[in-house]
Amino acid sequence: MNKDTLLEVKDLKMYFPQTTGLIRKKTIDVKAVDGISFDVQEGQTLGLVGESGCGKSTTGRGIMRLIEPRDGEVWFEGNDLARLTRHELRLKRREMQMVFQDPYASLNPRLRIEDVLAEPLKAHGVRSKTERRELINKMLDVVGLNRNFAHRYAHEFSGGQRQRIGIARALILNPKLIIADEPVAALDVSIQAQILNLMKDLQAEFGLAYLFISHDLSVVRHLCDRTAVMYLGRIAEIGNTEAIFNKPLHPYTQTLLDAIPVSNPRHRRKRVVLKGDVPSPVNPPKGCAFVGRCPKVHERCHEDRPQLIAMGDDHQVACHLYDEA
Amino acid sequence: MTHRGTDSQPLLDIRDLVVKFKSDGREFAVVDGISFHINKGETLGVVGESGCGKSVTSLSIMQLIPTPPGKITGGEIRFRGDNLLDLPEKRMRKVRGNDISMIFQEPMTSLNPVFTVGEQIDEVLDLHTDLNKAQQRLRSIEMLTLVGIPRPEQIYDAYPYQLSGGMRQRVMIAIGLACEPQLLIADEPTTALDVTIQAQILELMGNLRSKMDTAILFITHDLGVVAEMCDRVVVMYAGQVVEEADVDSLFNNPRHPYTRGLLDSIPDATQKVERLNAISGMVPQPGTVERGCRFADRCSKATDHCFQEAPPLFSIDEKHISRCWLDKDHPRFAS
Repeated sequence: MNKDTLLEVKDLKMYFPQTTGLIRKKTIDVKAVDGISFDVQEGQTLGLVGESGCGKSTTGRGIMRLIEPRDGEVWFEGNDLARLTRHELRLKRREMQMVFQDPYASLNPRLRIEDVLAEPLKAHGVRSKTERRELINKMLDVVGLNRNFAHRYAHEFSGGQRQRIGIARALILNPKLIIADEPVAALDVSIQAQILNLMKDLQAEFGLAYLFISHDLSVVRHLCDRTAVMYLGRIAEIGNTEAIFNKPLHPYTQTLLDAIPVSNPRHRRKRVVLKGDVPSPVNPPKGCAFVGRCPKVHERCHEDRPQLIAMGDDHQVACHLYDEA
Repeated sequence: MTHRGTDSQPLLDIRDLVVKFKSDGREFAVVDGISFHINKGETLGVVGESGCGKSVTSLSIMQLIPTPPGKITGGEIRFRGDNLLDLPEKRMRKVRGNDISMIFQEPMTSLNPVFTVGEQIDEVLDLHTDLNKAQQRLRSIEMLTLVGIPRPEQIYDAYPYQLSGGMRQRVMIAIGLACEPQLLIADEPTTALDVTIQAQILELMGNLRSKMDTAILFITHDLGVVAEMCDRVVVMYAGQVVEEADVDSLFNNPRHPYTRGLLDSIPDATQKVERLNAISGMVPQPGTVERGCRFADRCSKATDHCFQEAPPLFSIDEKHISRCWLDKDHPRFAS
């Protein structure tokens, strides 16, 4: 393990059992995440990007053990989270916090903002009321909200303000890692830009590491040092963000980048449009998961599941196009 | 008259539309004097953030505003010359789905879960054509083929829950285009879809547009989609049109500070920028700006004048208007 590695995920598997058959006796596994590995360095941002159903959110929840992984290891500062007891895990969670997509659903409507922000402090043993109030006020300043807002309820705020509250709640315990699951997906572009700038500022100020889960490649490029592209529960390509965006290797990454509409009418182009939908994780293809939609598919891809191979400094790809060379 | 094509009469012409909503005993103009038009076969983009009134405008065209609390209190919506607001409900029903149809953001909630895909396409044909049952079925399957649904005969008998999001949106488009309408209103049709599926749907809409010569009113918050799909663009802010231009001018010579702010806020997948130029603050609640420009408190170029007097629309050139005092040397736009 690298000295500055904060989080290391090894061969994580997240399966959801599903009962089928006439008398519900058969159990099959939906392999939402099927053996993925990556690490996040201190103070860095790793983007986890992919389409709906690729397993990116489940990965985030598996790391936090909000959903129990089927298999694999999650090392955080020298501890395997998957093996900690509930109590030990609770202590560790102080160091890693989550920000969710929907700022409307993730704040309790019956609590004042000061109570929302006091909850994590209480849960982690900050007993003095004055100390809590002080921390809450400080945190409101940090995320750019007026201190008077502490007495209001969540419904009195706009989406952008609520997301600031969600960030404040995650940040108040002074964590080292924030897992942000689509934190700007529900926001208008002008507000999205404000929140992205805020997240960058907070990272610089507190030395935070982010695991940034998103479907939006433009946002990922803007924010992330490294990027992992997921497809059907596996990593298709991972590495330095600039390398992945400037020289995408996996045919899936290439089409994904190609599919983004460009904000310039002079650059309208004929693109390669992917046929079909993402296959079901209940019954994934035997070989490469992308086999049914890939424009460069070979015979081998149907049989043989490609493994990640190194293609230069901090750039790995799981595709048979590259494993002979 | 400026902004008009060579065709004497636009397909749809909205003038000074005002839509008010009642809440807590007060009335707010959510759409406050909107004017724009669409020519035959043209694709017009309407962009703006949540609450700018873009969806209310589109619902007004179809007269689907929930009344109460909403009410169209002023203006005209002329379709091929007739003011839709004067039509009795019975005749309006003939317009909906036949001359003008609409597709929505969430294809799951806009399809009826207890009817098959085929029954839902047949329904439109049943209402608006003389086709018998067998002919309806043929036409429906033809439409499913047209929108690129594989195995159309089987999907005809499928229920919406059996289809993916992209497939459902294709079905919505099939329903929308079954009667070959002259105008299709698409309200955020790809917002709920993944980017590769979005690319499929946009490609499909582009192909159908050229095949059927349908005009499209494309409502979206995504400027990338606008750049890709539209001929002209209307930018809305807080219930008003703040800028209108052909798509090239809007992206390469944006005039209104709000339009510029929107363009600067988007992160770019093709290059890395250190910091986004976010627009500060947020959209004002309807009815809270009593005088002056509605964007003034978020605008980096605002002067005292902007807070005192609301700007009119100025004509930058014959296809380009902007509601900003920065362009006060240009002639005022006379609609």
